[in-house]
Amino acid sequence: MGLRGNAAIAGYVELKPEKKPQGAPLFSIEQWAMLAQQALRDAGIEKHEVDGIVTSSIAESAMFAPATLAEYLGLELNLAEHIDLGGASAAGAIWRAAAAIELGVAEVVVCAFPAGPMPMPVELKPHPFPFGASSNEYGSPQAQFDIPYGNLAQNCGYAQIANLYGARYGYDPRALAKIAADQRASACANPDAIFYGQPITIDDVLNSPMIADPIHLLEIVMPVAGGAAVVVTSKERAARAKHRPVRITGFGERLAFKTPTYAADLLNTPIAAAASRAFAMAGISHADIDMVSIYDCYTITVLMTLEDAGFCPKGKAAEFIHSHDLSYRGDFPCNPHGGQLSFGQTGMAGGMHHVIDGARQIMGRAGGNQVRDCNRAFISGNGGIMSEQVVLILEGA
Amino acid sequence: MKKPYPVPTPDSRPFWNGLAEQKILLKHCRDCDCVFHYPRVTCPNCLSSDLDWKQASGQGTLYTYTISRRPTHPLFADEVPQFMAVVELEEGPRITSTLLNVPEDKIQIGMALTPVFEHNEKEKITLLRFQPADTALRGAAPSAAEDKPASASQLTPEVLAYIGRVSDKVSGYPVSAEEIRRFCYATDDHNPRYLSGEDIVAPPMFVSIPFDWEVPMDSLPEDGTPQQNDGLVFPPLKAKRKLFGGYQVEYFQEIRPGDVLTRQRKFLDIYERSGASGSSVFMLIEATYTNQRGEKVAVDINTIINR
Ligand SMILES: [Zn+2]
Repeated sequence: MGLRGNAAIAGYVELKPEKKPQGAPLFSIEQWAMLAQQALRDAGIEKHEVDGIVTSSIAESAMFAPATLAEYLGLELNLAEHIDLGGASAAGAIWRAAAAIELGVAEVVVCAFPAGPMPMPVELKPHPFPFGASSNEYGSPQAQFDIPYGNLAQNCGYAQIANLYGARYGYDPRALAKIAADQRASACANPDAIFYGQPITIDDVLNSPMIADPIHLLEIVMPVAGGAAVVVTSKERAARAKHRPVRITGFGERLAFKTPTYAADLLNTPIAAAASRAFAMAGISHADIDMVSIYDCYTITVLMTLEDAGFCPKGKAAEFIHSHDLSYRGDFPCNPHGGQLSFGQTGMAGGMHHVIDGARQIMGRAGGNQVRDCNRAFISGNGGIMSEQVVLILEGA
Repeated sequence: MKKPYPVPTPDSRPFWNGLAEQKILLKHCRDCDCVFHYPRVTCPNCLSSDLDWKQASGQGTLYTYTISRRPTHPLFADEVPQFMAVVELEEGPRITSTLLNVPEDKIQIGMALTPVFEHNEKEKITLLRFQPADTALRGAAPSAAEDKPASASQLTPEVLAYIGRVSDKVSGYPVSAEEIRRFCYATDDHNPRYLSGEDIVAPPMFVSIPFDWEVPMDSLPEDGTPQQNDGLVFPPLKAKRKLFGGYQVEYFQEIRPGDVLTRQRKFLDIYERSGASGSSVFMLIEATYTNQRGEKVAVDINTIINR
């Protein structure tokens, strides 16, 4: 059951992240169109071949996002998917595209996630203090039971998970900090990364301000502007495209809560079920993986993914992290393009950073960050507060 | 903009009414005999809707927590450091809360907790917070408002009487294209809508500019804030330092050259927050702007923190 590896990534675009965007602001439909254009050019696939899209919400159209995009881009679609899984949306988009292609529903699917600045009309009333991913709408459980206590945004929930992990298994701050330091080493070989040229040590991480115990500033992603898109097509069409096809051979998806308070067991993250399904579907084991690209909004997310996805035993990630070099040139390459911690978190495109990280390596296009003999990648997506998680297994054709 | 408080729904109202009576009510499923929180119309275990309420003992343990050193949201800046807790009730369900009356170094995951029902008369709501069950572990920390000696409060009846007071209606300088242009240059805003063409409008933040009068340096009051000439008198407070605490504005009409805006201000709210460095008084001042046709142009709310 599941994918048979008959769909593949044929091309992508990942915009260079910017802290202070220089270009003219574009509406998200405009950004979507530009990302699609660049990703299709990268693949060498024509616009008229596109018959599917997967998109997250579009700022200009609260409803009917796929139809709005189809009309704007001039597409006729057999697959029009709207995905709403936060940071897991990108990985979720890729398996949905692959499934539709294997079913024969679509042949070329563009998955794009704009994350650039948008023009602000004078009439717009920006909320002075937006609640972000936390819903303060009347009737929302969060509005009643969580937000009034200040439990909102992301830091608090991740820190609560980290403290609970520490109480159960012991907390090694240096191991967590090493994740950030090793990824920074990779970013220092990637001129596109927002922290290119700024190496950090474990002590630098531990000496950065405490934000929410036990999480330090340098263990948290920095939001930046950007955008990313990926073209998924059939294995056959990908073989006639420009690059080495990157087949999607396994996936898993799991979600069960939004606010950590209501998770059945916060220490058994959804990635466990997602990863075991993905590995079984691909028919490969952890030893077959050449690199991992793990959604790294916080260092604790990486640590718990390493354990729950089965790369090391539960409670033993600190030992694992200390005994491996996680940089692109190390013995366990993790986020070889810098990860979001060092590349920058480009909003909803942040999840696509990991998909493209794997595709780029398998295609052999990672330049100074290339992992040698890279044929198989483990990719994770993570939305909410470790509450919605997706795994992809990518393999070179 | 004020802090968010719970707005009960028809389904959840018994829970909130229960807290007001110092009772924690949990939904109970008569089909599978489980209890759960938060209230739902169906049981999350079996989806039955044959539900009633059961009173929890109130005792619980600390499932996990964090101490947030930065506000989780600007509206909670006065609560930093925030002792953000997930409490596991004796009956099983977990609940989002905060810890009171506990020093940082005494907080332990698994520690026994007991509820504190924090009633807010103004909001007509009771929040459920927790403190250590073992009184030996209690101590100074972000403490519940009711623990403060009343005499320490700056919110005397005299100060509270200022809530709702309004200023005179005052008209500002007539809006001109030249004034808009200078404002845009000063704020590095080059949007052509504000600068050229026949239908120039003012940028949103311009709305208060016609009411800024030049004040000679030597006639500035001690706190550096020029007095407005609208007769709005500030309450007498012990705290003399004024901090800008935020600005929210809502627009209803464009502002164009030739418009003459009229403004009336009002004390929307005055409240006090206590922190490690003493107490601060928050004043929310709402200003309503109308134009010469009597149309409402904008409403803004300034938060001023006195400490
Ligand atoms: Zn039930």
